[in-house]
Amino acid sequence: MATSKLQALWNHPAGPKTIHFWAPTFKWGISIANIVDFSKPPEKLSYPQQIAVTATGLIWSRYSTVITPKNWNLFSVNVAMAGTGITQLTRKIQHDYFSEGEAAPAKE
Amino acid sequence: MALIQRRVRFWFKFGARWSVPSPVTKMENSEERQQRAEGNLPRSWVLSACGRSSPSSIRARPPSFQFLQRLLRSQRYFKLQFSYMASLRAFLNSPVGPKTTHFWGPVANWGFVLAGLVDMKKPPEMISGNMTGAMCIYSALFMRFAWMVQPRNYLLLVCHASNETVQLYQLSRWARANGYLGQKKEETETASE
Repeated sequence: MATSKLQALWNHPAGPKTIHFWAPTFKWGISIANIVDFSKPPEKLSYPQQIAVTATGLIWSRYSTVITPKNWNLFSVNVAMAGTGITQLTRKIQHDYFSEGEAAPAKE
Repeated sequence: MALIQRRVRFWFKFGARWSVPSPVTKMENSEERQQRAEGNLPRSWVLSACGRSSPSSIRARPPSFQFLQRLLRSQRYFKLQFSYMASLRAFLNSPVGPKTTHFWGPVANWGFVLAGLVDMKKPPEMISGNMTGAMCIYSALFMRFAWMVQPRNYLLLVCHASNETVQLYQLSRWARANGYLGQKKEETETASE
């Protein structure tokens, strides 16, 4: 019974034999890279890149539910991407605009 | 050469039944008209006007290649005039058009390309090696994804192709700044010694 379930997963149209599996699986790499970059100082973060990550994550969460085959793997990875993007943006905005206590640079 | 090829193809397709080109034509003067009315026209005038040696070699000819080509081109011109609006409407209503999410997903991914282009001016220390490397592999995989997904998404394909280019360039800038591609620098150092 377990083997037939595994077989069903293996042969799924969005399964490990197809690009529909590996592309989203690798997209986790972007979210993981972003999580690793949580420890980077906020000055080194890039606004355009983080905005792109967040917007992509949000729009693609919707996109992955309307393509054929429906791809929950892709959905989850884009939700995570949006999450990490929002976190990084929050960190950077807090550092640039709200941290009056520290010796902030020219940005006020 | 191309013109010769076109003509050969044209005749092969349309003119295969006709084995000789169109004849030479000549305006008859009043003298010859009178002679023709009298039924007195010498045979040789007709044949020499047609550029032929005997009547049996004269057959009806199709219109010339030039004429047909111009006719077809003019038809195509009119078709083109009407199809600009039609193709725009077809795009707007297509299954991967701006009314669907299949369009806006790739539009969001162009954000990565734009971010990469904006970051080209920044110093290489601001580039994240992790993120850029991940983007390179990500775009490669998604080019394949865009090809295989239903409906096939060329916009996404183009987006990821350009993102791949931009991210590879940024990766090379980062690698050079971190000493990974340092061969040229070492050569210039030894040369200056």
